[in-house]
Amino acid sequence: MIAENGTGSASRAIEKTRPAARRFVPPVDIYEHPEGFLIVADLPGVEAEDLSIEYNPPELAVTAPRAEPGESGVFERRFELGSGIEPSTIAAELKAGVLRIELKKSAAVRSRRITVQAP
Amino acid sequence: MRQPRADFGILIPLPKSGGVNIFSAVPDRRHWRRFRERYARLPSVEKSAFGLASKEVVMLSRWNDFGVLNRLAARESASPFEALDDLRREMNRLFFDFERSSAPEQGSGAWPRVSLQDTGPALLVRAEVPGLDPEQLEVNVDESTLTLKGAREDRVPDGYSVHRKERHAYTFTRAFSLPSKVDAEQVKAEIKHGILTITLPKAKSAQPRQISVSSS
Repeated sequence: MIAENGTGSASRAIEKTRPAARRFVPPVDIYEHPEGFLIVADLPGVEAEDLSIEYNPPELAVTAPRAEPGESGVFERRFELGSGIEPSTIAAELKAGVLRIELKKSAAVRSRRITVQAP
Repeated sequence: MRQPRADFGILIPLPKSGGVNIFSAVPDRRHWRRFRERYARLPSVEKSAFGLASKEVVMLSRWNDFGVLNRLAARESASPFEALDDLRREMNRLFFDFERSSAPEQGSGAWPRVSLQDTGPALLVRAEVPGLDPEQLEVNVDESTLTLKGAREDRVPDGYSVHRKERHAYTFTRAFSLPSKVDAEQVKAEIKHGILTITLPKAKSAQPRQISVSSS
């Protein structure tokens, strides 16, 4: 339902003309629960206004500048969201350099518990 | 799990001979060890390390970092040489990302990443500690040593199952000998957006001085 993408086709075109900024791959946790998914990423030093989370179906791209001494470049991570995710409910929170993105599953793919009734 | 012989390889199918492996770069032991430490927890990874050429991977393929062939296939009007060029770039990226993203390993003492700058009157230490609160950190300074201690908790949220786990809990102690004596009383530490900044003003004897030249 969520696959990961590498460098997208847009940035590939740019790559030919100028060297891309150094790319950092932040460590990411991906969790699932019956209602949806949770993506957690370490983005130390990133402020909310610099963070970009773009949803360009089916791709969810997280990018942010990184400006540590000797480590400047961009944090970048791309995910491909399957059709089972409700795009309107994507919510993100950045706190102490940790980003949490909540994704809700669409009703059609949620697993349902079927209760067996006694006759 | 045993070290695979050519899991970084890419198999190009040919009609008669069955296939030819154009990249037979075997991961060296160091790579392999890191890889294994990192992914040992995911049971499905055992079957095929990178899942580049294999169709047997069940779960990992959903989270695959290395969709090289798919991306190449999607590229329009690529000449074979351009395609090889792309492939080489992708392979480089793959190794680069792998090296980088596996850098913060548990217990290796490499976490958090720390940098030190000399601003002239002071030393500036920055440590990347995403997710840490001030109370989870302990900073100790004497004249010429800085010690950072801390712990980061990392629990799987209740009711969630894990698909991918690259972030870890850390308990760390890092000690640095400073390049000049500092005034321990004046040291300030601040944490903001997951970055710990420690400003260590140099001791009087270590302060830069302007020497005036007098004419006789």
